[in-house]
Amino acid sequence: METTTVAGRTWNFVKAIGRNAAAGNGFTQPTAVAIARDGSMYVLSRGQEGAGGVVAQNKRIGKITMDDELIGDFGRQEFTWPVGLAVSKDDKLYCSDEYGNFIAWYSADGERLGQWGEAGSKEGELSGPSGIAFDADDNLYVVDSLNDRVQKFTKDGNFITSWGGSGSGEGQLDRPWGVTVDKDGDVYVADWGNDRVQKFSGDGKPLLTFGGEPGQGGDLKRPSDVAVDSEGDVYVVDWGNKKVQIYDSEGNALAALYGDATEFSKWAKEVVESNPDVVKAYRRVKDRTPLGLFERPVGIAIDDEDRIIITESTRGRLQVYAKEKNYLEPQFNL
Amino acid sequence: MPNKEDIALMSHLMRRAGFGATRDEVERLAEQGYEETVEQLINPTAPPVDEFLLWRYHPITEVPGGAADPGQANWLYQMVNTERPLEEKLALFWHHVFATGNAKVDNCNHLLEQIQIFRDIGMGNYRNLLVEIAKNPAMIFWLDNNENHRNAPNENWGRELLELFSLGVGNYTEKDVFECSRAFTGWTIGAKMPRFPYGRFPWTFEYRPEDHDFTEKTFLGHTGNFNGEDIIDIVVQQPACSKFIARHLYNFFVADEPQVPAWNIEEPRDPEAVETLRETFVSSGLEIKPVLRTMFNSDFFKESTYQKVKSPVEVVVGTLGLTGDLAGPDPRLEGMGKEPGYMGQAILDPPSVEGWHTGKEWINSGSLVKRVNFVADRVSNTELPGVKSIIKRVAESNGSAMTAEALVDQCLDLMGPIEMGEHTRRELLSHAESEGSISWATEEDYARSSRRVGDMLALIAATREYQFG
Amino acid sequence: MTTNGNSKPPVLVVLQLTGGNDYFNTVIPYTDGNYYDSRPSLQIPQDRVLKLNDELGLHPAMAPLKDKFEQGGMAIIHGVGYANSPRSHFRSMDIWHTCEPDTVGTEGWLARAIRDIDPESENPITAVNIGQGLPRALVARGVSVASVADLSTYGLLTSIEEEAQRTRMLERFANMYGPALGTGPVMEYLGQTGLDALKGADILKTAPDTYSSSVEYGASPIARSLRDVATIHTADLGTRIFYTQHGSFDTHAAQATTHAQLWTDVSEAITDFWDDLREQDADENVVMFLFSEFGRRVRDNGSGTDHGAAGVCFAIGPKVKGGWYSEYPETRAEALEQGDLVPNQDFRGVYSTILNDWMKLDAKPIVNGQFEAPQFIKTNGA
Repeated sequence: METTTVAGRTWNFVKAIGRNAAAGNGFTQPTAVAIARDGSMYVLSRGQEGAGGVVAQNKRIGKITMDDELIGDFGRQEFTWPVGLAVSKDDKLYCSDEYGNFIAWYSADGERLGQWGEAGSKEGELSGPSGIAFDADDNLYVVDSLNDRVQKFTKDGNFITSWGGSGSGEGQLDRPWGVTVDKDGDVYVADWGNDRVQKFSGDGKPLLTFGGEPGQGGDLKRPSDVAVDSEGDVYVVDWGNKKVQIYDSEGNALAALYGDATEFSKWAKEVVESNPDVVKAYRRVKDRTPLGLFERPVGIAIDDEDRIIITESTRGRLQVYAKEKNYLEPQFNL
Repeated sequence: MPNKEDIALMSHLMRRAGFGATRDEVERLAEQGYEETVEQLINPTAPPVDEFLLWRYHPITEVPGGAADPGQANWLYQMVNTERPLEEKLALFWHHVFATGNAKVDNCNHLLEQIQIFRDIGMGNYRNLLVEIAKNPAMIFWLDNNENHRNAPNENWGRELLELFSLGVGNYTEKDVFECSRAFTGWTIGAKMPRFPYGRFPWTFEYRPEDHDFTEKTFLGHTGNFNGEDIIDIVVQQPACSKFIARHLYNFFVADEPQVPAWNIEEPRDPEAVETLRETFVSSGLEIKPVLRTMFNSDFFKESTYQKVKSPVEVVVGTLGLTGDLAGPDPRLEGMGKEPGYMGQAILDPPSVEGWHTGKEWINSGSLVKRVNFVADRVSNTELPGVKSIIKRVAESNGSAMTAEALVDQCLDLMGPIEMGEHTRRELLSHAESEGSISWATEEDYARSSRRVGDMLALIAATREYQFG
Repeated sequence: MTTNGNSKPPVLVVLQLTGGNDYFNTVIPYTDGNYYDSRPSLQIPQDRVLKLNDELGLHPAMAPLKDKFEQGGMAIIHGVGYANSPRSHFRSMDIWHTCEPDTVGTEGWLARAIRDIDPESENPITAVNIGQGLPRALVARGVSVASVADLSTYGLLTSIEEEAQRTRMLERFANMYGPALGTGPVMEYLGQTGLDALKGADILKTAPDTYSSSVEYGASPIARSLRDVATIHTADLGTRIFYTQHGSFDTHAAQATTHAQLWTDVSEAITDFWDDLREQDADENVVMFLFSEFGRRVRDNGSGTDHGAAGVCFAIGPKVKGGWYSEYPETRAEALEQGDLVPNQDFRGVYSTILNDWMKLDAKPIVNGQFEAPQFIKTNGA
């Protein structure tokens, strides 16, 4: 289903980008994506440990365009467990390392400019920093995952405030993962272990819960990330259920995306076409539906044109959807 | 308080029915009682390992592809973190029996799928397990049943089903192999989406009647138009089959037998024990669980302490558990999955369908160096939580000062308890004595004595006796 | 003792290029239009190819090996492989290691060679692997091989930091594993094995002490590994087979830079190794052999290449008869199989040359048959 129309909104599948690759035109376990000021994208390859050679260095940040151009990649061998990405107003890229307990930042062309972060559980210290997101004032929200809290810092790492606490009650968190900030400055946290997303004010007051109650478009299973579009609709990556659940700003479930990339991305096509046996092997496959489905969607970002970009760790690819304004439904008896 | 014998017996049970347990846990279980613990092992109520947690931190381990390492890491993680130890140990048992290797399958995700079958139904009915394995895509590809056609039978699966998975050499004829193979024609795998360029996709069993040989077969004295499941029904009724599985269980859980290919020549070392297991197996209608219960509660099991050379997996997982190293997600996990392979047991990648040769064949001079160092590296690391707790127990055992002999005895107790031969024990004792008396009085003493405990544990790990479990 | 025109027994150094080395961009048919057509993204421009003759040249990162070739000390063996290559790293590596293309084999070809060389397992370091674990080529029941991840830290109980304490503990170890007759066959076997392990470690420990060289190896892992090989070899401990590997050559993506880096490292390490051996007058009884589990697909995929079939092997050493062996497989589209170069030289034939002509063993039972063997070893006195 490449077009989804619900409640006066329409989402179209646009394209897939990338392929599984340890270097070059592809990604290795891509788990986060962020939009640069010029509209290009940073894609984080979480990669793997314990392998040799090329693979040993497959943790990296790739910079690409929506037109499938690989601008370059950087950050190899600079992380243990990279997890979250965010871009500041002055176009610096920030990346968290949940093992190293630091936040590193880079220039737009990938030069490493520095890092901050101290391991621990005291105020301002980090234990497993995962999702990160800037607000309009360039303060950085860091999901301090193993401390079950959100911490707010200046972009230089000065502590401002924090909230959370371990548990499943309102405002409490269980190994939270991704985070985003909407245009009103409210903060959405993927409360992974509690199978829900919580919305907080910028200073930590609980406002709303998404998916917590079964039936309200709930049934989220270990959500990993969240994003909000220009109209306030909320997109939750339902990591455990391999879908993207869309809610309106009140928390009502609207629709879900399951992945539609049955056509090869540009880079994927290059691989297939250079391998005659792979071409043949595809021809004997009866049903290509599984090719398009999300296989472990993880990270999500929405650009200025309300294009929704989702990373899939197992497939090494991105899927792009667009929210179409002024959609005209073709007649149903067509 | 459980007594010394209870502790020794419980730690024996946990080594065999699992991968060992810490002393705290052994004491708790011994308190609870032996038979009660056996029941708990057989009917686990604890939840399975949370794979979501593993996949979040190690996404590569969810759907590993060609390289075996991420799959090995996945399984190792489950063995270390499971609260259902017998289920996991039994999965390893079935992996020994239905040895399937990634070197040929080249789809490690499907090997993990096979291991999951062992977890899910490995304690259940053996006949059902055989049917599921016969339909398992990794197995079908491993033994070429996808090349077993109506007009061109391939005997690989048919032969191994009889030779290695159910009856053993000498209990069937070449004609039986051929007829068995014909009955499995058309049992194949659907075309799966190629691995390029998006990684691995599901692979499913497919039965193709148009490729199945529907003509009459004569198999082990029975004649009929048999299909695969009929063959399995005939196979499991053979007395040789129940004896074969009983002996496998004995060899894996009780004491080292000769290598499998010699079983039709050499009698079991304890024929009565194997017969007891066999009878339980048959009378329960080929259920595995009752056999496990009979086995663990039997005297021959209880008397079998240290009769088996530990497999590399037991060395690695047992040591990680004892020392508390690598609990939960850890960047070292993906490398750690390869350690059993360095010692000669690459899980998910056995050398052939015959599986591993066990017992003393685990040991050669290369693998012995790896085993000793792996354990010694960890037990001498006095920062690891498990080692710290051993040190604490040693320190608290005899007041602020203790003799060399007490040190050795305490260490042997907490590493097992394990009994040393007289010759070895003398050396351990001489070593301890050569370093003088032990004091825990001051902080400095404590640090120095901790070091000595760590070194003693390393020396114990290096003994011949410690290679047994 | 067999000799090869000098007093020392022949030694083989195997360097495995793990991951599937791209033959097409290693030995480049630089005048062949098919090469440029099928490599739109990864072609090496003609002027950068290191030309060896009118048709073929080496990748630009292989300059030191070009010298070796021109000095006559390197054989290039074309189109090596076997029929119906499975294009799987693991299966293919297994086939190369066991010489069993049709069934899953359990014995390594070099392990069988070791058994022939040292049937009574008298020397625990007849074969040494530099690396973690053991490649299947060196595995067979009853054959023991020392596997050395790092020569400087090899041994038993290496985590005991204080040296005097470790020495004391190793003495205990020797005593504990010492004769304990009457303890049963398994304990006795373990006792002997422990003493062998200790002996092997002790012997290897002496190697770095006797080693001194003016050659400064590079920092790459393969340079370190080959330096360990040179250290053990020059210590004259009776090691006849060395095995090591480098990789990963599995260049599905970003091949241009990766492949160049890999060959830079390998070429420099090989050069340092031979310079070192020559300086120590220890090169005459050594042959080095390079192989990879397969070559790569002819057509590139935009930034890399995928798994292929036929590959190239190299043999290097003073006793190697330099030059070309076998033929470059046809590159016309119609001549390819699944888009791959088709092997025209069975790898077991290449092994046979090494075993028969160099190691002076009977190759046939080791490689499971008789295969056409390219004659790249000099005959005695040549």
